[in-house]
Amino acid sequence: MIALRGIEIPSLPISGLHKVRDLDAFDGPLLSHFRHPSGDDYLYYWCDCNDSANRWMVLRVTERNILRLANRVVPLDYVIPTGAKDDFVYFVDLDGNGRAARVLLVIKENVPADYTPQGGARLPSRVLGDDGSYTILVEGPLSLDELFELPTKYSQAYSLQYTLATLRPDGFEAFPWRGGFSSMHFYRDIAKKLPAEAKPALDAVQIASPGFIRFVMDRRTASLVTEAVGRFLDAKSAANLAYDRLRLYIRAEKLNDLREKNKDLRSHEWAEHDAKLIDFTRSLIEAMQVIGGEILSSAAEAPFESAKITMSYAHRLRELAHFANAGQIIFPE
Amino acid sequence: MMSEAPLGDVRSERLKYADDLARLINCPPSDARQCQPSRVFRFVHDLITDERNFIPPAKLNPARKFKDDEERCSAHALSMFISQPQAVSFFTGLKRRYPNIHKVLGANLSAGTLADTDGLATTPDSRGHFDLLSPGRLTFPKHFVSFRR
Repeated sequence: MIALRGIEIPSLPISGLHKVRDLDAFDGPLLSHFRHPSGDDYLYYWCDCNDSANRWMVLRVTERNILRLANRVVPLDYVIPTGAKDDFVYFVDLDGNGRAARVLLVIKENVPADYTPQGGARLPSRVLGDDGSYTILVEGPLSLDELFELPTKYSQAYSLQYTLATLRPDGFEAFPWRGGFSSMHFYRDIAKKLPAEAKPALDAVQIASPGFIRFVMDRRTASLVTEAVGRFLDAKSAANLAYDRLRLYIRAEKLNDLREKNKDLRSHEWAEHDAKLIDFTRSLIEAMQVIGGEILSSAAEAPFESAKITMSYAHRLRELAHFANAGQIIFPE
Repeated sequence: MMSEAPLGDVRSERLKYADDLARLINCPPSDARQCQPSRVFRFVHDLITDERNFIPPAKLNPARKFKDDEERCSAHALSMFISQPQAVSFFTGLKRRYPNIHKVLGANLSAGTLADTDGLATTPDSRGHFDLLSPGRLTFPKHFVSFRR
């Protein structure tokens, strides 16, 4: 192993680290995330070995940089070792019994090139947490309003997707579906019905750019929402076109006004619109590839209700896609 | 690569490190199948007879800690690739991230042909990698030949 220019110290002056997860591994971990009880985050980066020891670089880093590495937003050399929070890193030679045979403190500038990742090398795939959390990376400035709006929209989309994919209700509560008020009640209602372990909760927000917003929620559902957002990223995507077609039909036929005048959605006056509403709504559901999407039709009181609920979900996904397109956020999947 | 047929002789045969494996949950993994005759690839050190070449990570570095039994089980297997391009591509990526990785894995690629009696193989992942749990009677390098540095 290379002789390092540094100060030998008796032991690693950090105790109580616990492993959060391996970020990269092949026949054993190669890059691991550890956390100190104080909340500080550390990376163990495998550098070298000989017959008796493996050499690891240990560096204190920000959580957001770990998230960016895990999501392949930045290459390894952006963080290792340049992005370390301290001016120095530790090198630990772990012997065959896992004991630190030697510890050195090395100024970052003195880390040999052979001990750092090559420029531009990223983790081979995104590393997802398995701790029930879901993190959205904040890569651009967010206003205070947006900072409130973003988690709200995401949580609402999540709640509906969870309801469709997992709870699969027979019916939805009927709302007038005019303005934001009814959708607010609708989403509050479905959120209330989620089982406690699946309820979305804001776990941590770091509003600096770059920063992150971390939720505690069902990972699978979060992934479904993120995939659905992806279908609205392109303005000319099938999902966006289907959304516009349905929206324009409702507007052209003044169906929101009709809903105010005639609340009986099974009446003759509505019947002439049902076929179009069913067709356009189905197209939108298909374009969004919603898991459990059929429930959007079967659980609604009438085709108009179904159309409005589907559009409200699409609307949230479009808003989230707008954040992503503006470079303000990156979804982990 | 893998047979869909129910596991036969190999599953009942005593695998290497069988006592260790028996202590682990779902080991061998439920997706492991009896090998089918196929050409496979593995990273090796300069000499094909180097004893490190065919010792699984759990035995090369017994002090290692594992997250769970799935990892522990995998660490008792030999990493193989189903094609040369996938093995080379994998190694190239790894080397960019960890410039000294050749010191652990070796800097050479070897190829060998597995017979259906050579053990249990997991389903290859998208990178072409799979784990081989071999029977106790099998001694490597067997017919593995190092051919590319």
